[in-house]
Amino acid sequence: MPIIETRDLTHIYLPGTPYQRRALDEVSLTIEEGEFVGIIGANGSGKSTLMQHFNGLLIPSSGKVLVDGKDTSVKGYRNELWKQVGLVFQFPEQQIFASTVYDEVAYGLKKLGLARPIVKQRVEEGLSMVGLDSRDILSLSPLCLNGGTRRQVALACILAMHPAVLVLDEPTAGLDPAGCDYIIQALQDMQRNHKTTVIMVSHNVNDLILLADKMAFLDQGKLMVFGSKTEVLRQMAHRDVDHLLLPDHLKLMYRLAAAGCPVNTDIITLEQATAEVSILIGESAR
Amino acid sequence: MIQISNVTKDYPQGTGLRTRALDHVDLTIEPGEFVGIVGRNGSGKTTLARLLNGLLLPSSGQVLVDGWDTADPCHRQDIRARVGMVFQNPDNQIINPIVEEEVAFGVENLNLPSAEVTRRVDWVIELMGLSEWRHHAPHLLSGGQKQRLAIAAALAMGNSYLVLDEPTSMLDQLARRDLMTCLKRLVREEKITVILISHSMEEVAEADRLIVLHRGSIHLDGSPGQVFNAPGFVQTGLKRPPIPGLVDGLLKLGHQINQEIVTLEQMVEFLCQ
Repeated sequence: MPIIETRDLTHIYLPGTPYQRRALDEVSLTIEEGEFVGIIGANGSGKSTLMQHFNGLLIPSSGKVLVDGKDTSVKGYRNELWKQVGLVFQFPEQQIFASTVYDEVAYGLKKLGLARPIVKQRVEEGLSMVGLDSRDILSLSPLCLNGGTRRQVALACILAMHPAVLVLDEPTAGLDPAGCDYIIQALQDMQRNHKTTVIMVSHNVNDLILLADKMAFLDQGKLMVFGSKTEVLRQMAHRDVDHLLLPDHLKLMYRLAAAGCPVNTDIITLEQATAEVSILIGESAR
Repeated sequence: MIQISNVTKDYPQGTGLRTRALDHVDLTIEPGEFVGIVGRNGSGKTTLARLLNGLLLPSSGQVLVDGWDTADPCHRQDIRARVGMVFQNPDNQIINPIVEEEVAFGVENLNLPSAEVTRRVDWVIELMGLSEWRHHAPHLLSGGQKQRLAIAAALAMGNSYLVLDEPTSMLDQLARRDLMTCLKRLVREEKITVILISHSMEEVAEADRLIVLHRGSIHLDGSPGQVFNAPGFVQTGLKRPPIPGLVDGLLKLGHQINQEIVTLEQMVEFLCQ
């Protein structure tokens, strides 16, 4: 069942001024319940604008966004919409404000009007989902945690709210590999065990390749392709001759193909790339 | 030369989960080196960076910059004039309304003749590829341009050491590539010593020397090829970048391949020779 649908979604910033800019141009896509969707594109391609449409923070200049079949531009639907779709911005640790980790994670839950024991249980659950042990940190000030842990706490705040759809903007940017792993595991767990629909915006293909069922590739506000990973990677390589957005092992495949080497560019993982190169070396050795 | 001998840095109790940020670290950085530093969050990278120009002082041990002790207040000015710092978010250190004024700000306070100030400003603006934006307001620049502006302002001070603490985390791929090209040029052509802290393994693969910090100690130190292929590397929770990963995979399949191949360019060259 489709959970999010955009129909000819166009977004124009500052319309009617000299700064007018078309950030999204007739984007139509359908995201099914329980899918993990990666949205990729260069800076300024419209990724962040698109994600803000998914919970009604932005309203289309033209076209429509439907969440669970309901139009996000209908004001009466907003409160319910915000409970349904959790949004995690870039660098979410910067919006932390409470004096303890407990208060921070509990803040949104209290606003939902949940009873105190349930709040407590959900706080612990949220923290454990992101790989943190609540016994260690509940009473600490979030400000004394390191950057990666603070990001985990910020994510726990949203996960504890049990959103049906989780939308994240560059959730791993600036984290060390271990920090990335905690976030990625938490997202995988949400999708697999809690049947959450996860939509992740990134300009790092590596993360998305591992996680996403489907990918969307945006270029200058237009949806170039929405589909399988192979299809999206092929389009990306085709659109951008420098292959800037591709990970090094895929860049290598395209560079080798361009140099006339017989390699398959329709691959995804490092293991596949290794196999291709292995065959290539084997042939030249013969 | 920067010499760190037996340096320990403790933060006061109650300000973090771990209070000993650096634990008896010894490290020598020679002039002209391009050093990459990696490590997990909380491994002591930023503390180490801030010790290099006396922003932080060691709890015990000594940091010498060209022979001057960073703990000696008499030489703090000299040290700051040698060791420039660039942080993650350039917006935090840009204070002037015009690009060239931002570059000139520190230099003007060095009490130099105005011709010298002009010469330095012209030089770094050209060097960092900012000529086109010279008379623009910094807030209208892109993230990558702002980061290059922060570097330009540091270089104009006559710094011979440049310490960059995760300068690319907020940049997109194109800006990252441009910044790395700039850094390599600084090392090769201007003989600047560059110390680059980053989470991007692809970036530090371009350095001449790679250091892995783990729990406040130097865990590995060597060429990028040696470090990425060392058994201790993955144990620290870091990930090999794709190219060394590919080299590792090929070795396991029984191919002969040089472990010093760590970047895409080196791999393309090897395979297409």
